[in-house]
Amino acid sequence: MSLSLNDQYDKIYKYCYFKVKNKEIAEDLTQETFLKYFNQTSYINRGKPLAYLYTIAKNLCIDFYRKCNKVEGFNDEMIGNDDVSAFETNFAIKQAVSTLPVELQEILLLRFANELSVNEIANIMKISRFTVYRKLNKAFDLLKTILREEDF
Amino acid sequence: MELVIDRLTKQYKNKIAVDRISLTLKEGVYGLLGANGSGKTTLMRMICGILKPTSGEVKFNGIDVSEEKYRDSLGYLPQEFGYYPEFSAYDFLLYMASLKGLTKHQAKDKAKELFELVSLSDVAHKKIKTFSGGMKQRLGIAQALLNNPKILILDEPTAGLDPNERIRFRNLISRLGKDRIVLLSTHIVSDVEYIASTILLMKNGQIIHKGHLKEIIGAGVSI
Amino acid sequence: MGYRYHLKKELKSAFDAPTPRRKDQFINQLNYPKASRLDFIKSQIGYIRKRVWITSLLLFIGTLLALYFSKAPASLIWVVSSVLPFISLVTINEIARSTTYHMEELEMSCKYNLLEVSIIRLGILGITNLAVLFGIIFLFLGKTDFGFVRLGLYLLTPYLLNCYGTLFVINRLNSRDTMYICGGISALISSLNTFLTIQNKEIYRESDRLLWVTLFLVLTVLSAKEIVRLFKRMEELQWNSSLTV
Repeated sequence: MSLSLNDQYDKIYKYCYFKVKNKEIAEDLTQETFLKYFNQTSYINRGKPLAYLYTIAKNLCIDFYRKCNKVEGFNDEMIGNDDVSAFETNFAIKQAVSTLPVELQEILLLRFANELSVNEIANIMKISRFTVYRKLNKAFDLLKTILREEDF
Repeated sequence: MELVIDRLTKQYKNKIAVDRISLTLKEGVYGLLGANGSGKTTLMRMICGILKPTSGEVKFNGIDVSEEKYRDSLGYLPQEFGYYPEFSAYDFLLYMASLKGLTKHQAKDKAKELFELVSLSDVAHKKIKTFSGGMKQRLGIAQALLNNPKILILDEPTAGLDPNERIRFRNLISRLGKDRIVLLSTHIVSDVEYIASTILLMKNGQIIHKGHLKEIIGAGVSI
Repeated sequence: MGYRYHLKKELKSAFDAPTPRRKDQFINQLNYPKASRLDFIKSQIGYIRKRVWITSLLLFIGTLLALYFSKAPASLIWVVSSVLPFISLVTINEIARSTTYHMEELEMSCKYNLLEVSIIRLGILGITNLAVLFGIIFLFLGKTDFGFVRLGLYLLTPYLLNCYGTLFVINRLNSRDTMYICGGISALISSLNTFLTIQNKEIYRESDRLLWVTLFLVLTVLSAKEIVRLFKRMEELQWNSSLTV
């Protein structure tokens, strides 16, 4: 996991940032995820490394929520306010995505931003492949509706 | 990240193959240009610790070339290499991975990734003896990347590649050069024209010019 | 459908996050589990070709059975001593595999380099060879009147001669045919041993002991020198006129 260690870091970071909406905290959690992951002595024999990495990240984010039940984290950075480029069409889509239920947003992130396979997503979210497809379709339908409306 | 070569010399009987070369290399792609017989391969072999210098030192971030830690950060593609006859490309990568200290698990992950990178995924389980020259070369490039080396030494890496493969190779090297030291040797200028940030011109065992290609052409230096 | 495709592309960057600042530092000093030397040794055992284990096992079992059924066990000594050179052939070929197949340059540049690989091979195969040799000697010990030393001398001398011959060739010849030449040498030694014994039934006379001991010691020393020579070659690439500069 080395040439891809770089990529994995970015992807887990993206995932954590999605969850906590704060870049410093997202990076902290990312690093903690990797430290934990490599600390397991069973790493060497583990069969599904990717899913496990995300599971650790997910749990760390949940722990983080528990520690600070405040909502203020959400106001730290608004999507589009950082050095992330915001072209108009892209911005419309980002806005549309942010109105979706969180679970659907997560699936979209894992599938299209982080390019995980449906199998991997099923493992991470502990749902069946069928459910993943179903939710993806639902997400698309919702997006289509939202964006078409905006066209008018 | 710094590869320091200090007055490196290799002498055989009365022939000096490499003559007191001193260089400091940092991240980026370096093209080692020179005619056959100029000492390129000998220099590279010494940088890889395969040949012991007559005098001089090679150190990476302070670690001497003779140490295991040095080799841990090294990836090398020789001009020619053999293979155990019963090996498939996959066997070969796994074997090299074990020599480079990867765990079996890491090796399998990495092999899959690298086969895709060099477009050998569909022949991964075929025996190497069925491979063409270009395929073997791509396999060689793959093995050099197994341990995610910080120093990548490639001796005539584009030999045997067809034009498409050359282009893909150039793109790969450009990407790799962003965060590691890549030294590739060739006697074809167009190989390094677009990807090397620094050209090292070698003649008779010495580096006679170091700089950008334009300077070298401009200066009318003859190889 | 085209709309969905377009959407998918946009979604790719819909979740972009501000660039992480501490990535490189973290990755560079991340300590992830690497294979230990022990793991490496174990994996090298796996890479030793089956033919070594098979021939050794076959010889041992063959000797066991032959001695069990034979009416004149002492007459089997020359048979086994004619087969042992092939064990030596297979073993040494295995140890020198990297050189024979021109993998040296690649292997020398690795973390666990050629020298280590070869030492491990030598260690593993040395132990197993010794086990087979001693095992066979003990088998004969139980069935014949010869003492341990004499059995050792008679059984091992052709073996050592083959070791020396094979190593000699490997150390000086660098061609694809090296394997075949070594095979030829083993066949030669084996035949010679057989021939001498048939010609001269009294080859194992007590009075010739000095001859045997001298031969044994000389061959041991010569073989040892050749092994050292082989390993010295593994420390660095040997320069010869075929190396391109």
